[in-house]
This record gives sequence, C-alpha cells and structure tokens, in this order.
Amino acid sequence: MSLAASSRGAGRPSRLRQFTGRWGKLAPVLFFLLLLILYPVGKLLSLSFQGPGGVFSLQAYERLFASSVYVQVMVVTLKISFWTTLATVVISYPVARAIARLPGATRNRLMFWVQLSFWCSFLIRTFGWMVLLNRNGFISQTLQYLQIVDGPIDLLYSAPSVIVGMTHAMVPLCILTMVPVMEGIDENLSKAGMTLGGRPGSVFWRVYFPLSLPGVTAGALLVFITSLGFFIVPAFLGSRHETMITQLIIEQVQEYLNWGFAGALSLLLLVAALVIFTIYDRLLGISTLTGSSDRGVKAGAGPGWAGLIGLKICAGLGHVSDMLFSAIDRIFGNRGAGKPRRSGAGLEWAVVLAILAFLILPALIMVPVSFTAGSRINWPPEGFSLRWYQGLLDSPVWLQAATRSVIVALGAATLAMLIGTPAAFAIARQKLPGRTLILALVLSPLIIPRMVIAVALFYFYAQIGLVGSYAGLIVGHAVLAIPYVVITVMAVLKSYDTRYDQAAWNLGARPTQTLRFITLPLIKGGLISAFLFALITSFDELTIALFVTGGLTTTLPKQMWDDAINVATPILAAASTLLLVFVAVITLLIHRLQTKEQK
Amino acid sequence: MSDTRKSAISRRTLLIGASAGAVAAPSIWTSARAQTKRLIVRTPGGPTAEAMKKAYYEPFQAATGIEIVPATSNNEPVSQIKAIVESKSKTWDMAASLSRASIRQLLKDGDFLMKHGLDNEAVVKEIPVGFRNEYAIGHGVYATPLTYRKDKFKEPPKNWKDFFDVKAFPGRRAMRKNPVETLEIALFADGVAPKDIYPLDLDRAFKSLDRIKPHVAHWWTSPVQAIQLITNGEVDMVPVWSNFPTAAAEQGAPLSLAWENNIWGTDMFTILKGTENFETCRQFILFCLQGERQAGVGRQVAIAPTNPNAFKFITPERATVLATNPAYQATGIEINDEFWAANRDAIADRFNKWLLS
Amino acid sequence: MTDLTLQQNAGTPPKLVVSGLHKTYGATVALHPTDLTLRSGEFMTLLGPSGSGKTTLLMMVAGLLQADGGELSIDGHKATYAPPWERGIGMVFQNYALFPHLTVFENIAFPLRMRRMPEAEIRREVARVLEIVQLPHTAQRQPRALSGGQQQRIALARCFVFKPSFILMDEPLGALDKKLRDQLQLEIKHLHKSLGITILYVTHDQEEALTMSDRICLMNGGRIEQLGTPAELYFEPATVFAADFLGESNFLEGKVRSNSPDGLVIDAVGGAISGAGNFAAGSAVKVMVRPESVRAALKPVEGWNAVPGTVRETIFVGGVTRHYIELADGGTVVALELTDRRTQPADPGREVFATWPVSATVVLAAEKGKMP
Repeated sequence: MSLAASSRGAGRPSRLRQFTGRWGKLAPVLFFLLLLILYPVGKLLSLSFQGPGGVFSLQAYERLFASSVYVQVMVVTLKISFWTTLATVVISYPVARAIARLPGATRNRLMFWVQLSFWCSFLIRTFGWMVLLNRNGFISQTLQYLQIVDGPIDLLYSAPSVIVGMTHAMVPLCILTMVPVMEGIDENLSKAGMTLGGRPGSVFWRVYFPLSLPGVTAGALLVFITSLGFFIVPAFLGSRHETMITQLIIEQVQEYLNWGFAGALSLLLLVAALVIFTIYDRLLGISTLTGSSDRGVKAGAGPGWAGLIGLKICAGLGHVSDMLFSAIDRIFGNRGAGKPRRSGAGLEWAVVLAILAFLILPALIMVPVSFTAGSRINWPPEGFSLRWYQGLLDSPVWLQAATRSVIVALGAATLAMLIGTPAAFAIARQKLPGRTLILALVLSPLIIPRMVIAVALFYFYAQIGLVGSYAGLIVGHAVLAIPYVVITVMAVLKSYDTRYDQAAWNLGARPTQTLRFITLPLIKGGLISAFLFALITSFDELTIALFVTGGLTTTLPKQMWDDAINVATPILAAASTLLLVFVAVITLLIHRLQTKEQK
Repeated sequence: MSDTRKSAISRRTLLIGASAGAVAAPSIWTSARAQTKRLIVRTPGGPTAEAMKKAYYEPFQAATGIEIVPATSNNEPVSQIKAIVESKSKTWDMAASLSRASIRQLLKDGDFLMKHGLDNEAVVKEIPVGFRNEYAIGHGVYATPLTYRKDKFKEPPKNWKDFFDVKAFPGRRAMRKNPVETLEIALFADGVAPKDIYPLDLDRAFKSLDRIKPHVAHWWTSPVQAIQLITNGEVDMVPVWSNFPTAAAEQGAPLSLAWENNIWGTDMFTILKGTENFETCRQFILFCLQGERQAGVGRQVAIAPTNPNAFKFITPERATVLATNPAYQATGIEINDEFWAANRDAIADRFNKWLLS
Repeated sequence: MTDLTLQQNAGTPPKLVVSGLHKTYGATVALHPTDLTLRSGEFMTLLGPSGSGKTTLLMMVAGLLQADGGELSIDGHKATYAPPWERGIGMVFQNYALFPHLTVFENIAFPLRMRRMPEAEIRREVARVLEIVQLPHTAQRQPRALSGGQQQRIALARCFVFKPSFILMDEPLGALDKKLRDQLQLEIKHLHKSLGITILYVTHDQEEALTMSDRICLMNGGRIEQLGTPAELYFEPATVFAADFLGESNFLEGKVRSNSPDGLVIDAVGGAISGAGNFAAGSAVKVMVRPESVRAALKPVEGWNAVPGTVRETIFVGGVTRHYIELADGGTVVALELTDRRTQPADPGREVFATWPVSATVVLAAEKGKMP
C-alpha cells in the first residue's frame, strides 16, 4: 500500500460511501418504480378488497372462485402463453444464431429485417394476419388458385391462429435478447467439440446450446410474461375458446365498470405470473438473468438435479439429432470422405429465410392493401388509388400523432436507459440483500397487466396534474421500458470480462473514465439493443397512451387504434406502409453511418 | 381520411347552418360571444367524433366564439371522470356520448355530476322525457339491428328469429362477445314479446343461445371487427351497432339492416362536478339539442336524434338508418340499464362460462 | 500416393498425405496448391508468420475448413471431405477451448462420451490422463478456476484421453509465460515420444519450432517455403526468407564471377567470396553467413572468406561477445564469438576482417524470397 500516506487511500471508506456505493445506482430505479408502479397499482388493487360503501370485503374474491370460469380462463391464458413461448424460442433461435455467427454485412442485413418487423405496430401486424388468414384472405385464395384446396379454408379464429399472431409479435424481441449472449460464445468451442469426436448434433446440444441457455431463458421469460398480458391478438384472431385473462379485465373495466372485480382478476394474473416466475427461478435459475454465472454454470454440470437432468436431455437430443442427420445423409447419399459435404448451411439458410418471410409478411401484405381504391382492408385490393395516402397526408392529426410518438419514444427510451442501465450494473455485479425482490420489482411493469398500470397511472397523474402532458407520457412509457433495458444490459454484462475494467483502473482510469472508454464501448451492442427495445416499447405503446393522454393528445398507435376500432379503413395500411418505408430508411441510414465509422 | 373537396363543401354548408342557428337561438349564448373561452368535452373517437365536430363544435364556436376541445377516450370513461373530479384537475368540463349505464354508475359511486337544471328550456321540452333525467340529457341514440349481406340472401332475414333459423337462412354468423344485447336477441329469437324481455329469463335465453352456438363462426369484441368479418365475407349475418354497417354500406359494402326488435341505448350529455364553465356547458348543451343540429349528426353518421324535430331536416331515405325513426321504435326496446346494473356480474360469469364450454 | 506408401519402411502408410490442397477466400489465396507428407510418429511444425497459410492448412487437416480442391488422406484413407468427428484427430486450440459450462472432469470425458464409452471406463481414463498431466485434484473444478498453465494441461489431457494417433496443435503455448512454455514444450515432447503419436504443430515462434520438431515446414504467403529437419533449415536455408526467419543471419549482396567444379566465386563488397551452389556466372546472389560462424580477425585466415570492415561496437553478453563490423558499403556484419579472457577486446574504430569458413557460406538467389 504505497498510498498509505495519502489521505484518501488510508482509511476504510466511510459507511456513507459504502451505502451510496451500494445503493446509488439502484436508487433511481427503486424510487421510480415504487412511486409510479407499486404505489398507484397497490392503491388500485386495494379496490378489490372494498365492498359497497368502501368497507373491507372479500366479495370480489368470493365471486372469482364461485364460478369455475375465471380459473378456466387463467388456465387458457397460461396454455396459450406457454405454446407461444415455446414457438417463439424455437423460431427465434436459428435466426439469432445466424445473426450471432455471420460476418458484418450479412449480419446487418438479417438484423435489418428483424428490426423492420419489430417496428411495425402490433395492431397493423394483427390486421395483416387477418388479411392473410381470413376465409377469403391471401392464403386461402392462393391455395384455391393453386387448386390445393377447393373452397375457402378456415384458418382464423382458433388457438393456432392466436399462437401464430402472438408468436409473430414476440419473435423479434426474443431474437434481439438472444443475440448478445450468442455473440459471446467462442466459436472454437464447437470446433473443439467436433475434433473430439462430437457430431454436429451432439456438439450443438452439449456445447453450444448450454452456453446459449442464458439468452434462451432470458428470452423465454420475457416472452412468457409479456404473453400473459395479450388481449388484442386473442380478441381479433381467436375463437370463443381463446379468452385470455386480460380480455376479461378490460371487459370489467370498459364495459361493466367494475373496478373491484377487475382488481381481483388482476391480482389473479399477478399471482399466476409470480408463481411461474418462482418455478422458473427454481428450475432454471433467475441468475440466468442477473449476470452472475455461478449458478448457471453449476446447473450445467454440478450436483444440481435439474442440471443433471438438463445434461441428460441435451445428450439425448444430441443423439437423436445425430441419428437424424446421418439418416438424411444416407438417404441423399451424402456420405463418404471423398466428396465435398453438402453442408447443413443450405438448410440452415432456408430455415432462416423462411422465418424472416414469416416475420415480414403480415406487414408486407399491407402494402398492396394500402393502394386499394376500395374502403376496406381486404384481399385482393380493389383497383388502384392513392386516396388513402392523400387522406393520411392531408390530415394534420396523423402527422401530429407521428411527430409526438417520435418525441415521446426518444424521451422515454433515454430516460429508461438513464435509470435502467445503472440498475442493471448494480444487480448484475453487486452483492445485494434481497436481490430477487429487487429484480421482481424491476420486472413488475412486465408482470402487471398494462391496463392496470394505465388506469393506476391515470389516477395518479390526475392528482399531480400530469394528464395530457408530454412528461406524463414519457415517464409512463419509461416505466414500461425499464424492465427491457435492465434485462438486456444484464445479459451483456454476464458475458463481459471484468478484467478489462481492472486493466483500465490499473492504467490509471477513474471509474467514470473506465465506464466511458472501456465498459460502455465494449457493451455498446447490448446498449443499442436495449435502447431500441425501449424505443419500440414506447413507439408501439397503446394502453398507457389511451389513458394518460386524457384524450387531449394522440400518439401514432392511439390514432391507429382509433381508426381500427371506429372505421378500420385502408388508411391504416397506408400508415403502416409509410411507417415501413420510414423505418427502413432510418435503419439503412444507421447502418451506412456505422460502416462509414468503421472505415 | 376524407376527401378534401367534399369536406370543404360540407364545412361551408355547416357554417351557413351555424349562423342561421345563431339567429334563431335565444340570447343566452350570444352574450358570451365576446369572451374567449374554451370547453373541453369528452368525445368518442372515430367518425362519430368527426360528425359531432362538424354538427356541434364548429358551429357553436362560429356562433359564440367559444372553442370546443374534443377529448377522445374509450367507451365508458367512468374511471377517468372519477379521477378528474376527485383530483379537481378539471381536465374535462363535460362529457358527450356517455351511456345511461355510465351515468348510473357515476351517480351511484359518488358526487361526480352536476344537475343541469335545463328541464324548463323550450328545446329540452321538445325531447321526450324518456331520453333525459336531471343529470343528463340524451343527444343521440344508437341501436343494434341485424346486419346481413344483401348478396347472400334471396329472401332477406327480417328479425332475430330468422337470424337463429339456420335452416331457412343458411350462412355463417357472428355475435358480440358480451351478454348485453346478446341475451335480449336470444329471447326475441325464442319468441318473447318486447314488453316481456325484462327481467331477462336467463335459462330460456341461454337455452336459445345453445341452438345458435355451433353456427357462430366468431364472437366479436369491437364493432369494426364485426364489420371486417361481414365485409370480408367471413360471415353473412351479425348483430352490430347500426352506425358501423351504415358507414360501410355508404362505402359500397353490400350490407343491409333488419330493424325488427332492434335494441337501442342513449348517448347523453352530462356536466362534471368542479367545472368552472357550468354556464357555458349548459349553453352548449342547449345549442346541440336543437333538432336541426342533431340532424346534422344524423346526416353524417347513423346516430339517431333524440329530438323528433330533427327528422324535419333529414330525408326519408336517411331516416331509414336512424333508430328513432317511429317505424323502428314500435318493435324496438331500450336496453334496461337498471336490470343490467343489478345483474350484470352474475350474468357475465355465466355467459363467459357458457362461451368457454 | 502408392509410391509414397512404398517409401515407408515398415509398410505402414504415412500418417498424412496432402496433395494439391488449396483454399481461396474471395481474391485472397489462403493456401496455394500444397503437397505435404507426414510420417507416422513424426513431430512436424508448421512455422511461419501470420497469414502464411499454416492455420488454414491445419484447419483443413482437422476438417474444420473445407478445401477448394486437392486431396488429403489420413492413414492411407481419403479424408479430404470427411467430417471432423470422423477423422479421429486430436486438436489443441490456442485459447484451449475448454467448455466453460462443464467441469474439468466432464471436459475430459467429452470425447469418451462421444464414443459411447461405459461410465466406469470413462472414470478410469479421465483419472489416468489427469495423472499424466499431474492435475488429479482439479477434476471437479470449473476450467476458469484454473491457471493458464493448468488449463493448457487440461486441454492436452482432453486431447490425449481418447488416444488419437494424430494430434494437431494450434499455437497451444502462445498465451503462456516463457518459463511455463519451456516446461510444457518438454512435456509435450515427452508425451510425443512416450505415446508414439504423430503431431502437427503450428507456431510462429522459431525457437519453439527448432526445439520440438523432427521436421519443420516453413510457410510463407500461402506456400511451403522449405521443408526439412531443424538443422537443414538452419544450416542450409533454401531462400533468403528461410534464412532470415530462422535464426540470426548476415547478408552480403554479390554477383557470381565464376562457377567451376571447385565452387563459386562471388564478387562482393571488399573482395571475392567462395561458396557452393548452382548459379550461372553473372547472376545476382546473396551470401548468407550465421553470426556464430564469423570471427573478427586482424588479418584474413587462410582458406576462409573474409571482408574488411571497421568495428563499430562490441558487446559482452556473458558467454558470448558480439562484434558489429561495418563494411565499406555501409552494411553491417555481426560476429558472435565465445568470450575468451585472452582475446583482446576489439576497440571500436579498429580495422578488422570479418572472416568465416567457406563451408559456412550459404549462397542464395537474390530474387527469391522476401527481403527482410
């Protein structure tokens, strides 16, 4: 300790310094979420314990369990969310893997298509699916034209169509969550596995897959929890059997005006989400989200029974896929050392391209629809005209809404990054008492149905005069975006080697300099993803906007919603097409800038 | 959204109408003309809001100089109104197009609304008592007739019995995923007379619904969805609020309405507690209740006037899509919000369970 | 290929035969068509600067990179396009490539599990190789909990455990410190001998190559520059590049005056130099001589080559002394002598002759190979 003589290095840091060091990064996020989520939502949920006249009562809960319908709906909700999660992860994985492994230009091109579909409003995508899957829609008509079927086919209004719609909405989120983790995997490990005698199947399942598991679990958890709160997709694409709990909550709020019962249903959803969360934590380890790798690693090989089972499953899967591949090889005579292997790359590309087509199709189908001369969103478009574009550009409301959405999204994303990033550092790296609890709080905006947050915020804003203001909307959207920011940043921090920081300190950099010159540039990819998540969360957000704008101002999704529920004209398609072009241009511009920078 | 040329013309005609209204109007609002005031009025979204803007808000501003700011919100903004009044934030001064059920809820839950005290005004007296109470006055009527595709039926369905008769009227159907109106329809289909509908015979209604259940291709949650379904040919018949199919038919969709035993409800004006513009609100309400002004809405969207004098300003052809047309009133019924307020929870549980089974 | 097989004394086919193998990335040629034969039990090093094609060649032998053309056979079997898992070749990676999610035990057991070995046998084999690398106590640890040297030993153990008869090593010691490197070099050499395996080793460190190899394959610009034993490469470099890359060397520009059965006579700075080689009179050549062959002498030694110069600096480096002798054309010749108390230290500025035996003179074509 050569610094012993100097005043700063001599003593132990004071308790105050220790305290601020530990909690300083977390304080903003805790303050923000306690004030804007827990307090208002708690107040709202307490309504469910009020009977007539405001006295304590369990009436709402008696009703909840008197009829089996609510538990039934909850089960339906969990089932649909489960299948959605499974489908999403399976579909996202190959694309994420391709993006993580490909060199620059190709990778950017893939990323472009993923982001493009991510940016399209979920509302538009839902309408896109209706155009595609409708009895007289694109797919049905195409199949009839090709004489594969001889009459209209029913593709809509079933559990599969709901799962397709929800999966479609979730895949980009899942891909963008997985990519940073996969990028951290050393490609040499797979090569080593092969030289040690592992066939591609075994190497994938025993080496690559376990290493990508943190990304998979983070993606799955996000998707599952987000899926629980869906209401528009099941309403538009589902049959009477696919009723999800949030639909009932909204029905109670909007049609029966029964806040107490809506609160009880929300609590049911919340409890279900927490139970899933806990089971998930026990089985896979929430540490897969927190960036500490100890448990994740143990789960792979240590004495943990879950880990052992996981290993066995992976080994089994590896064996099965090996047999499958060699069977395929044998069938196509693709064996022997003498001729070049028709490597699996072709197949992999086919799969990736098929998934990209799936992602972009619902938005693309709106392009021809937008040029219809008719007044309905349907297939095929009736004639050609630009009337809907003219309508759009003539309307100041649409332009104002678009501008406002951009401003709010930028503001909300920036705020969420400022609050969420330090919190992610703290949760990922510091030893904190009650870390799981803190994490649960951070994730709460995802778990609590948006409708509940929206109304709770509206109550709260009305008291402090934030209704209808930019600030109110930005803050509200930032609340929703924080969990995405925290999870994404934590995921990259997990694969970040802290020795770089130590090296920087050793080279004389202060913590802030280290952060600026070393840490942040190194995790830039993750930060950009986090920012984009936050941006899109806000840009595509409807429920909060419906309430906290007080109806005085409008955002783009709100304007679209207004059109969708009141008239549903092809102006939606025109807006969607312009949005598509706009986003494409912006994304290309960013890519261009990045390549220029590299040169 | 709309053709510019057309809207420019309609705007000019409306302004002419407005000044005429101002001349004929009592002096109560001409005095306020000098003041630069504005009123924030909760307004529904979509074409109805557009129509109200053109028929009510712009002429009122032209006549008085008072600006009307529409604040759009979801269907039943009860919670918003409560929050606005409780927090004294005065975000809204008054509400338009509020359902009877919402008014009832607000009155039941506390002190959120003000008595308008306009019962003795001449223009209010023109409006049948059934459309008003001391807190709210109806300014529009919406209704649920049966919408069907004209191109799919040689012999068009006339009523709910036909709607339930899958043999005589083959085709795919959709219904609303909500017991309100759906149960009434089921009872009509089972032969119940209009006067005997309330209180609802639930067992009979659900039994009747059982018959149609296998033939319902989809249960809609938003009216536009219902219109999408029927215009895309996904279904051939659907009960839905009349203003939506009417607008679609104006755009060329082959849709027609069967009005027998239509079920209707009232859209009302009400003034929120705590407004500083109570007098202006009253002034605005009186302005809008005039038959000619209501006709202005009815000409644009199929929301029917509550003031019978409005039909003087509406062509007979247009009157065929308006629920307060005397011909439709005979067999129609108003939704009994009192019954629903008392029973909706139990019925909703039963309905949701029935749907899932 | 058949004649190659016949060359093997015991009738065993060569471990590896590479013929015409090549690889191109876009406009860049990573490996020109290349031929190479590796005898069974041989330790061969691919030596060269980065970008010389040595790793490309290694990766193609491992099956991790598909060749554009040419052939490759292992143990007499064609294996050009055989997948890596069927080649049975062990490989040790530069950064060890230990699986971070598996324990040391599971890492080593991996190749055995891939070969569906019974559990009991796996335990026995893993324990055996852990003994060999002297790390039996680390079985249940995570790889990242080990030091660099330990990790490298585990990587070796994982490679040896399935008893491959042929092992590829891609700069396996690159990340280790000198002492550890020296120690592990010896260990690898020892394992090579005791297990009788064939090793193809990649490095850019010439000292490592000289220490360990039976033969060195020197690569440059996607081609084999020279192939031979360490001594051949050192004493008889075929090109300027080879001479320069391996060891220290002095170069003198020259022109062949005459070529007779007695040898070459070359005109160089300050006089004639004798040497051997097949060059026509008049061709430009470079004369190379290793510093340890050069003496700084006051007068020319009889029968030796000599060029006059001035001592610029003399450095005493313990056992040896280095003299830097400046020639008339401004070039420098380094002479490395064993330090001897009795020798007079050459004072800077003193006129001397740099002189060396004719047998230590290497004459190289001037245009071939890259100039340093």
